[in-house]
Amino acid sequence: MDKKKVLLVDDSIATAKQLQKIVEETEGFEVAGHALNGIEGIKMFMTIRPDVVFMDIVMPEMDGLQAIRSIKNLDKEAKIVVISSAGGVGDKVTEALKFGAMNVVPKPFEPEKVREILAAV
Amino acid sequence: MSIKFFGQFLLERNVIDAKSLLESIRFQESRNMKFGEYAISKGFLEKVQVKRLHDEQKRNDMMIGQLSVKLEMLTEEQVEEVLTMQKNDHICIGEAIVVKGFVAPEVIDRELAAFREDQSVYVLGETGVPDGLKQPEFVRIMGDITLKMLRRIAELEAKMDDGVFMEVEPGESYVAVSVTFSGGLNYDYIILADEEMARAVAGAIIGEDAATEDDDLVFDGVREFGNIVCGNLLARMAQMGKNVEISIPHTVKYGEGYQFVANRSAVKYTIATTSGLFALLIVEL
Repeated sequence: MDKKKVLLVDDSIATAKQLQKIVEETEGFEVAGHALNGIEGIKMFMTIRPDVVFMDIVMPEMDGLQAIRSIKNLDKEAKIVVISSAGGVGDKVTEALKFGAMNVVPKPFEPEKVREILAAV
Repeated sequence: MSIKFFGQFLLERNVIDAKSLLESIRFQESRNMKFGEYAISKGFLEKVQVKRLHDEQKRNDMMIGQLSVKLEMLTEEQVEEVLTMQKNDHICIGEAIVVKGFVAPEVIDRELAAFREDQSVYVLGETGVPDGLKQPEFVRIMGDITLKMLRRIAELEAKMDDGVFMEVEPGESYVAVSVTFSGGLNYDYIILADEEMARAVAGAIIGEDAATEDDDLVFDGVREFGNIVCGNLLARMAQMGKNVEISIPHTVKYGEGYQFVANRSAVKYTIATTSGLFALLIVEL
């Protein structure tokens, strides 16, 4: 069976590396792409058509909130998980959930939590 | 004068040699088990639960015992039992040195008194704030949370000195990461780290050893550390009724004319760890 595709959108390579490791250790999933900002994230979403997107909020060029809105406009069924620094951007996380994000995963990542979210995809 | 650990103090005063000190530290480490290790040995927790508690602790400002009760992994009685065992078994480095027969007990007692005198100017567990700052309570919180997160995320032993006003620009460090606070509080929050420290922090963020990673990835890891600390700071400040914004952390490019202090009020905290040097510079804007 084909693995489910994960798209990472985060301006931090270190964060993406940690998340990639967790995803690839989870059976049935692979990281299909890593975008460094919201604009790249939308473009990669269109080409990759991932099963789930992990989206940071605070990024240069275009932030995660705008990118979530755009992706949801393109595909109402898109599954997007918000990546958040602990507690710091609470109102923005709430906004992201309002835009249709399915869940929130705090940094630094707890592998078990990421796997729980993936299991629901 | 600087902040230091007792073993280092003994070494500097030639009370013990490095080889014997290291042997004593290893002995001490073998005796001083962690909370999770005791809980596992008692059959209260599984290894995977301890791992979860450690991960959760990076996001929650709670002691591991409190957290295990909150998450309904242990009862308060079990936590008390584990803490008592841990306390009863715990030995200090001076005790380990004596048990190993490297130094006589009376010499350790004498040196301990001298050490306490030497270190009495440094406050443990609470950030010192020099007089003259506009919002000393928030500067204190910045110091406290940075120190706590450094201990928890990077899992390093760390001690911080009292802050000192910087009249001049700090010298170049391997990496400098800056975050600007605006809105209710206006500060530049700057992390300065030497290479060993930066690689330790980056490794903790990536989740694997960063000793041989490219500089860019290491810098990115330190930026992420700054991002996580500042996220926690925002949360704490929001609890205190201050709604502030933070910029995206950026790595400062050193070059002609770089300025952190620029004739503004700037407090520098030096944090000594078991993996290099870390400094925090807080500049009032």
